[in-house]
Amino acid sequence: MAKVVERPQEKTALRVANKPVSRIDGVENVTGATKFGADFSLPGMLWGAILRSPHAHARIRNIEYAKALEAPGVVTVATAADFAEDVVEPTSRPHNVFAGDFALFLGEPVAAIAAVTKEDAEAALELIEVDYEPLPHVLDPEDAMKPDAPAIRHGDGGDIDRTEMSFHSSVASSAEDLDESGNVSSQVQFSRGDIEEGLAEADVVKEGRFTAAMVHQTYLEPHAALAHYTPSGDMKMWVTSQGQFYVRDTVARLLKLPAHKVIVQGTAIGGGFGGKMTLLAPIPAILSKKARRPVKVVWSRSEELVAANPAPYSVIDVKIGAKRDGTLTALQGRVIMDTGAYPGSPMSTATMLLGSCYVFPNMELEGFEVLTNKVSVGAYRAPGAPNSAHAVENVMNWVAQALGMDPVEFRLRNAIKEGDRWPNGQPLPDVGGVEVLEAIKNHQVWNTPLEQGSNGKPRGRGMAIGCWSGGAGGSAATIKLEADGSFSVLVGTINLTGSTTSIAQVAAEELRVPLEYVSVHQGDTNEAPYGPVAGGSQVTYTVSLSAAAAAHEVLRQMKGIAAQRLGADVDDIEFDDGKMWAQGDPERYVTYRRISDEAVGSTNGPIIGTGHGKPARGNPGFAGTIADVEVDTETGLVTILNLVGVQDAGFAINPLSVEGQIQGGTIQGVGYALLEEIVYDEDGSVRNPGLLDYRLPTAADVPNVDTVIVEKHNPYGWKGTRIVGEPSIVPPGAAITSAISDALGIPLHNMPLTPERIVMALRDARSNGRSNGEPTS
Amino acid sequence: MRRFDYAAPTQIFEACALLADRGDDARALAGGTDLIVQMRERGRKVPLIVSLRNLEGFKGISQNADGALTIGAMASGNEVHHSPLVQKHAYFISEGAELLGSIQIRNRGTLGGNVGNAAPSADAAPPLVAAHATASIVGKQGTREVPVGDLMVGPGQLALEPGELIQSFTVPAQPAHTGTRYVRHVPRREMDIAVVGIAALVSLEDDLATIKEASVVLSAVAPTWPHATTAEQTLRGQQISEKLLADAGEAAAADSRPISDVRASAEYRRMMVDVYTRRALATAIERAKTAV
Repeated sequence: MAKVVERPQEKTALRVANKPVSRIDGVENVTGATKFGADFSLPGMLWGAILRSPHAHARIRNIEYAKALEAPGVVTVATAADFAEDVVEPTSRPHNVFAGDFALFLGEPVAAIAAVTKEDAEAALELIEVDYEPLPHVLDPEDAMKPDAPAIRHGDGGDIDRTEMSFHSSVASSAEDLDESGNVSSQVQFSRGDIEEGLAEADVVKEGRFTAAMVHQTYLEPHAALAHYTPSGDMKMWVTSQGQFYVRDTVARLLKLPAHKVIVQGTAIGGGFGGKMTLLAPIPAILSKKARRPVKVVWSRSEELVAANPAPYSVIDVKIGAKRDGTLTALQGRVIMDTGAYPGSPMSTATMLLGSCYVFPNMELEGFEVLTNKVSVGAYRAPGAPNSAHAVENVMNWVAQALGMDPVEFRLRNAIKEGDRWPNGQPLPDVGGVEVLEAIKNHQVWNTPLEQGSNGKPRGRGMAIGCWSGGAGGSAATIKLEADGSFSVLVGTINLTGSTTSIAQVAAEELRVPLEYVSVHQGDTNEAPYGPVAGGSQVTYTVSLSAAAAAHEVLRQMKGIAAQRLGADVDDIEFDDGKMWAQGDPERYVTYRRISDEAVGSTNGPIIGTGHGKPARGNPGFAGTIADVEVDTETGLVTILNLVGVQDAGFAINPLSVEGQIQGGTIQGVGYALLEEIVYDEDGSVRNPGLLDYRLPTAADVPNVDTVIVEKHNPYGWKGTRIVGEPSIVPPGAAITSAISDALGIPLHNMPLTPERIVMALRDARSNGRSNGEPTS
Repeated sequence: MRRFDYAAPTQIFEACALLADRGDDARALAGGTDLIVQMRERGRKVPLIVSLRNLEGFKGISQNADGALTIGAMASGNEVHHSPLVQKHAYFISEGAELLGSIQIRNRGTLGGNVGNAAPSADAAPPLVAAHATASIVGKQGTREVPVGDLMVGPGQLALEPGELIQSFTVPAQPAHTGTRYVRHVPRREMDIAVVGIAALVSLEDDLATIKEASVVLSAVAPTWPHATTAEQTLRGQQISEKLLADAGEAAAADSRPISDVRASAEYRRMMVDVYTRRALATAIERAKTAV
């Protein structure tokens, strides 16, 4: 169990919250009883299959599918023509279900078939005749920025829809949105003070150019959706997605249906990490509307790796200056982010986050979002932040080393605190950066010197911190008092991370009943109150407030009945453990069960309460990582000896769940640091479209992740709760690459550091005469 | 995945006839851990699958009167890996078999399947080649013996006639003071595919300091599973020394013919052939010294 750094506040009154609780849905999940997206079927159902562009860039002159319609089992075909009015270029991916006049990446959907069997649908794809005119393509963002690069956008297009990225971060990130031009779809700048002066007054300046690979969220469950357009004109859907209301709104807009006629049940979800939103759902929906039969589509893993919405490749330059005493003077940064074929990358957030952890009196940051003929990118757990932290935190460690300072002390000296400003000018609320650094400073691993092993393989240590702003959307929750005095809670948010268990804990705590007296149900979009997308780490942050508000409303109604029955003033009613009584007379009580009976028989009717909640503002979450590694210098293989994840959770409603999130994010950081990379061939095809060559870490590659939960009270969250899901993935890539750099004594600039990259970097360092020297750049 | 027909004959002649008649439209199923994945994820079309699971004489592991070992083509990865006979006789065949996918995959995947799939990066095949094993091939014409080293002619291609099947492998008895090692380079520890694989077999003179015979076979660095012949010549008859192993490593790197692909560059592969040949030989020599 995680070590929890205790807050000074009194917590003894708590009975359910702040206690480690196993996921309520855990047994179902691990025994295979849970029904995920692909598990839903209906009588008379058809299967859909998707035809994808074989070209990275092509004009589509014509699509002829008469032969496909005659093939065995085929019922209907859909193309961009079915969404004709909505195809606007350039715009975001959710507006382009199928390629219109142009295919912009290899793998972009061009058409879809619904047939009686999956095999029939797949076989008939070959019968669709598409007349392509291949066009020059560009895959590297720096090439795409050159004046003679092929233009990826055609026409002047419309506004860019950045809704999806806005779910993840509530903080406006762009100081200045500059004009876009050529293949640069967005450009931002942040500045403060005078960068030249800041660099001039520094005693030490270190810099580097860092790349982070395109990586996939690699949720266990691929995209799946079932749509049934009923005779009465309802579009009923079962979809694995992080946001059922977002799916509803997207399908309603694309199919021109009223929102209430699109009824989406978000199924149990096998992971999402930001990547599972609305990519697939419109396809079975349009096929079902045309076929008037239910249609299911399930993606293969190769479709996921070729044509979903992975996290972006980026090239980040960072230069940091500090005085001899360790005071930072300047930060200069430049982000080039490859957004793929459509805008919508986390470029502006990534640029701003370069200056998010420390106070830099002088700063100049610029960012470019660049279009290329690759799959368009999406959100992946703290989108863009691991890329930023990789660059900044490595350079911070080099500066600390050059100054002869402990990297944690160096950071503590400059750590951002309440009232300090982010690059966008916003003053920060009370963040936990300092507390996270202190937890690292006090950790046993940090205080145990790293000894070199006896096998001759060099060892190194790295640390890093990072943060994430997170979302703060509005939500509502409904609670009913049931006949036996138990409660059911109805929410519209997806149980992505075990939030259902946390919400049950909040309701039980407020209602003063054991956890077993509360169940949480996720209704469909017509049944349930609105809840935001399970992204931006916001579900527990916002629904804890609305669930608590709903509990208060239910208690208010219950107290009215109790007061009447006890002949007491409603303001004097006290309650605990399923009973209510008048102040000073706990022996004469009325049970929740009796209150329920009375309510049902009264003119007021049964007790039901709805609460509304929205955190007054987002409040960034900080996390830190310590990594110890050993490197086989002949082969480049890295063994992680120690891995420690520290995170400020504000108030850990379920410490077990928080610990799981820290471990999960840290392990995904191992993938970023060492293994994961989507590799493109020159023709724009993905060379590793399977989980053999797209390497996730296995259990054998990851040591135990030691976790520390820090609780720095957040005034905007329920009992001090803060966002939890995302921050833990931010620092591990930086910490692990920094540890490898420390072991080898050379600066390293790439993620992932594959064995080959390490061997080649060592060879280059030897030929430059710099092996085992001081890491400089 | 496309529709396919499925047959699971009980008679060898029946299986051979089905495969011969349908030619390229038919494939033998000997576990399916490559074939079925290719059909599901990569759109490979195989109109007829002929399962070998019901055939007699394709299973089991046994020692012959002459000390040679016979391993049925349908012996699973786990069977081969855990077999005390295999471990005693030619330990590196067990080591190679242990690297086929995960435990679950090794319950399905077979030694014959690993050879029959003819991937240059196969892990179980190179030790068979290094141990001078032969394959018993059955077909409509009867049975013939082919050295495993001559079976593979290129990626995905075996020197077999349509309708011919690998029934079993025979691994000859090894001389005294013989040690073996199969080792591969992979970026992650499990569930990976060889970037470089080295199968090494070393027989020592009675002085335990001189190499009598050495066999070094390469995986994933050539279109087939070739012997590193220069490295073998470098070793033969020589006194064991660090320099000798370093020379053998360099010779093996020069013997290799790697390509650059998504898993590694040719340059890196060559460097790893050097490193892992040295390491494989060192372990094989240690094992030879303690072998009875």
